[in-house]
Amino acid sequence: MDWSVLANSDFYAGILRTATPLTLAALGGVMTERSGVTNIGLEGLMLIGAFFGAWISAGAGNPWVGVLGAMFFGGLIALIHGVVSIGLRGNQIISGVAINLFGTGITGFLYETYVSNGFTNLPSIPNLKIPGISAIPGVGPVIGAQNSIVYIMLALVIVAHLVLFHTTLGLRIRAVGEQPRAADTVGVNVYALRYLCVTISGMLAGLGGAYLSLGLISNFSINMTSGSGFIALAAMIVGKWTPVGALAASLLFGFGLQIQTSQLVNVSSFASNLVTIAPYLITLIAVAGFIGRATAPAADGVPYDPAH
Amino acid sequence: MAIAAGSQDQASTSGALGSALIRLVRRLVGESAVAGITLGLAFFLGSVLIISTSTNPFAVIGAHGLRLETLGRLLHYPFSAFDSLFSGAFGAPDMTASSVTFGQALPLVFTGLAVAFAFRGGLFNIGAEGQLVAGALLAAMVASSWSGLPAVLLLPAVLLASVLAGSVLGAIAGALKAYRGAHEVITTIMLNYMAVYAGTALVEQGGPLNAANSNGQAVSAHAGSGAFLPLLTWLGKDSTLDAGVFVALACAFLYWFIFARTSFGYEVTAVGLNPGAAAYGGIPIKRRVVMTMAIAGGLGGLAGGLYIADPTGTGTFQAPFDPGWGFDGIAIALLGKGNPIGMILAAILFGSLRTGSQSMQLVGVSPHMTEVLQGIIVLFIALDLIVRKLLNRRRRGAGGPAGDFVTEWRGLLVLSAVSASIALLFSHIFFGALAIAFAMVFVLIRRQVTRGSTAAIVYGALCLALGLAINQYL
Repeated sequence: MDWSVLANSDFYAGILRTATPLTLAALGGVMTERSGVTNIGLEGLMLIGAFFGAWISAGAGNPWVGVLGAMFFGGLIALIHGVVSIGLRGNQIISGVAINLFGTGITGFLYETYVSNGFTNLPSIPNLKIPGISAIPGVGPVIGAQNSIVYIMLALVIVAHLVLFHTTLGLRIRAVGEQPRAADTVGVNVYALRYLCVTISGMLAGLGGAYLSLGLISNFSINMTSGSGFIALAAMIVGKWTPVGALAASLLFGFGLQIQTSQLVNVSSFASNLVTIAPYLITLIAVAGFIGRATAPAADGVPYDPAH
Repeated sequence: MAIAAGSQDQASTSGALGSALIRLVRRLVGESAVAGITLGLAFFLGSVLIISTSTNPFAVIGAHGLRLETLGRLLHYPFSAFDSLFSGAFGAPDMTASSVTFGQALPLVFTGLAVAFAFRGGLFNIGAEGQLVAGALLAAMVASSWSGLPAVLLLPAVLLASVLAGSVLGAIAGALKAYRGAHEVITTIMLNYMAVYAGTALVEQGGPLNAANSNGQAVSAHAGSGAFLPLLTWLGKDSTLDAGVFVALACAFLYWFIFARTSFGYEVTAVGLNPGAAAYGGIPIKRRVVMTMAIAGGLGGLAGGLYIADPTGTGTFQAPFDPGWGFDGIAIALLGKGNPIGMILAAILFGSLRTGSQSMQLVGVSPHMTEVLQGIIVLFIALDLIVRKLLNRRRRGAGGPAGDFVTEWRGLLVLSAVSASIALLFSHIFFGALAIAFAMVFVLIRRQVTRGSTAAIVYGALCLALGLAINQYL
């Protein structure tokens, strides 16, 4: 094995890039599950973000319009999930499965109907050079000259952490996810907060998807997320339903994926291929409680019915 | 409870055999009504999507005015798309297309059973995909490394290997749930990806299962000649269906038998319905949970085993192997309401969506339309209880069994409307007749002609006439 690449700063820049869409979607997962609504439809929502981000950008000629569009459509589809699982108290897992199927279907359908020859001249989200930091050798390429979305992601992690754990709103969101009845009794609007959080989760997953098609890869292909949404779900769990934890877990998974994609370990390809199962194995071990138990919010996935 | 109460009313007015028959008809009609409404809504929304992407409906209305002919012009797009979808799935008279459809439905029966079995035990098995991948992997391994064995030994060994691999995966999720409290939805999702990626790593170049003559392909060694199921050649010379059909029917029967006739099935159901009461009744819950997931996993694994043993297939495990049958299985189990016959029908529907999707391209509709349809179907399934509540709203307030709703004339009207809409959609006399038949059933149950049944018959006949009229315009 050739580990010399680990001394290369491009490798670490790659980890941060790979971790960005995962963190964004995982952050969405944290928000919605903290409020008590599971969302296993992150994969479909990311795909919708990736497609609409690219489609709208190609039409508007501006990547940021596409990013906003991706967040809008991600939020809209998540809102459907919200209506099904909050207002109508349907089954949240089944609804999530439906969102995934629908996301694959509708993006493939629209892509083949309207963009049959692929996107040409897709504008991509610009990189941001931070003066000073970008000039530092070694560190510069990693955190000084990344894609703008990478910085937005880092900012959102901090914002989500502050909101969830240091504001009244965050306290209410967590209360609604742990003890909705108690929260309702003291006058917190359970439904409104859950709708808000589900919509935010769709917007964040959509943003993560848009980063895939407008930043990381700069193109859209059918089913391009290929499981990223589920890795994000895993990152949310391993990060114990916290924003900072989700970032840390995404970086860990990004490291695993980077080892694989950068073909560092080309001596034994079986070993490098086997690395792909690491995120899932780590998650399995984490939910089983073998390394610090990962426990979901108490009311996660339980519809709130004030009549009962 | 509600059904029992209803049937007592009925027993007082008619004979015992008659009432049993009526009860059965009521249940069948009620259950298929919920499924029918789900499918009807999905196809309706799909039609809206096809119309709005194929043409500008407002421009068409503007050009031709609000007339019946304009409706025909618009409906032409979804009609021709769904027409080619189903003729692609069942069209050819010599069973060619149909046998492909049934072949596609075959693994879906197993994954549907795998999801439904766990459901009975109160567990959500999202892992049928991983279970079938593991099943196919071990089956391919056995089929190639013992290739010298005669078919009598090799074929059972291959199928058993797939069951074993699937059950191990299921049992892991079950044990983590029972002994560590890990939610099975999360663990089965993770096991899915682990199975898919481990399979890829194993058969890729450098992997221990990579075939010697793979030429860089990620493929396992070829199965021995004895590893394949016999083709059902008597179905027609181009038929691609194999004897796996009988394995599927046997498993569906076994599923029914376990839950209808054995104490084990009773215990699984009890654990699923009320774990506390089951524990109080002396049922070892933890062991039952592991067992349930192991059997569910075994059923999922068998789908992979049959894929390897398919005589028209390659007889190899080709990476990446991720056919999506396991996710279809979730929809099938839910649409079939955990009833083996319902699930077989649902599997055939999903099989036809898979087979016919390519044919839609002939009329310019993307095959991904079928995935959109599946997504909408599953979304409405999530709302199943709501549909039931709406149907039963006027009867005893809350959402009882769906059987009740057909005794309401509105229920029959809805059923007639659904069939009549399908009649419109396919311009098929059969469905129009079905609409009238539903109204007749109502007359039979009530033993009198009421306002509702007359309305249903008239409505059905009208829709039938309208369907035929539109057919003339097309």
